Amino acid sequence: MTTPSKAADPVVQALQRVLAAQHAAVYSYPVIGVALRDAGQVDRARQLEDRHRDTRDAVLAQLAARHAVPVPAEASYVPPQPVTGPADAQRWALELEQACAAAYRYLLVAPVLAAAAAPTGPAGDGSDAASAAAEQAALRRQALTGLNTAARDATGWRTLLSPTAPTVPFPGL
Amino acid sequence: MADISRRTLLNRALLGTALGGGALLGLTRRVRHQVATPPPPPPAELTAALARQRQLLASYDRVLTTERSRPGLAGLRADVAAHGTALHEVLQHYPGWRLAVTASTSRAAPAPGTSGSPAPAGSAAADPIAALAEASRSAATATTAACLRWPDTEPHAAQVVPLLGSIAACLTSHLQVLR
Repeated sequence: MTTPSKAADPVVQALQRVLAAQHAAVYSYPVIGVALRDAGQVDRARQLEDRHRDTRDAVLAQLAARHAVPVPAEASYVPPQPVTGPADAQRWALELEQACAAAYRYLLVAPVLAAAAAPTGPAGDGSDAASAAAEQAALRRQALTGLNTAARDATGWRTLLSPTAPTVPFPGL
Repeated sequence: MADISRRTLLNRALLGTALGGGALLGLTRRVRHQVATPPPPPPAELTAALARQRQLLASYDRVLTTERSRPGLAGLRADVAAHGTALHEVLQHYPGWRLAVTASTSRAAPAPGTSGSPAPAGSAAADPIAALAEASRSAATATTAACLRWPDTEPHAAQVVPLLGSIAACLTSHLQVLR
């Protein structure tokens, strides 16, 4: 069971956001794949579904290690607009990747917020401080990798939708 | 001879002692002038990120003179210009940066949306797009490293860390367009 202090932990909150975004992607990519026509894009949707599933499982394990109850997947996910053709499917895929980027961007900030909220008392054991620093560094690396990957995948879908403006200056914002 | 009361004599003696003591202190104690110490300079990681952004922007400006019709290139340049604006805004939080900018008005630091000193001539090489891709890759790597190194406890970490992360992700996504 998630204790109130765990639920308020910015890192747990950020991981829950990442998990929610992965749930949505795992549910949605099979539906997107059906609506796509181009074989390469269908393959890409399948690859992304697999990757999001792996990430979802990894984040589930991370939350379990932190004794937090992971957010469950929703019963169904609604696309931003009815999917009647490949372009609608690409827009949905773009939205999923943008949501992942936003979640990872928040995961970048979460350890900073946690550090600011941490009570300032006498420093404990040196090894505790070292392991906490290593954990923070690992979280930041994970968040940066996730943000990079989501930005790259979003650019892939955006290139199909708007070839003249395939990127955004601040992914995840 | 005028009569002087003992009280008057005592008062004069006290006054004389106080004046003498004050004069002695004034002559012997070191005068400490309060000199305003300049604020510390902004973190080098941030100024280096801004320098990279300006150099990249200069490269785009040079390439766009010959490759204006290439789709997406103007959009990438706009992204890089936006990075400069955001970095400039974050740097404003550091009094050392504001002081440095004010002091160097004669050197006229370029506005964030404009390119600074032109990029080295040799970097254009035979394939300007490949050179841009290489510059973007190198900037993305350096920005990622800066983001990883930034301390959680730094006062502006909540603004700087996600900004550097987003810039690095954006520059990485540029590589897909610059293929």
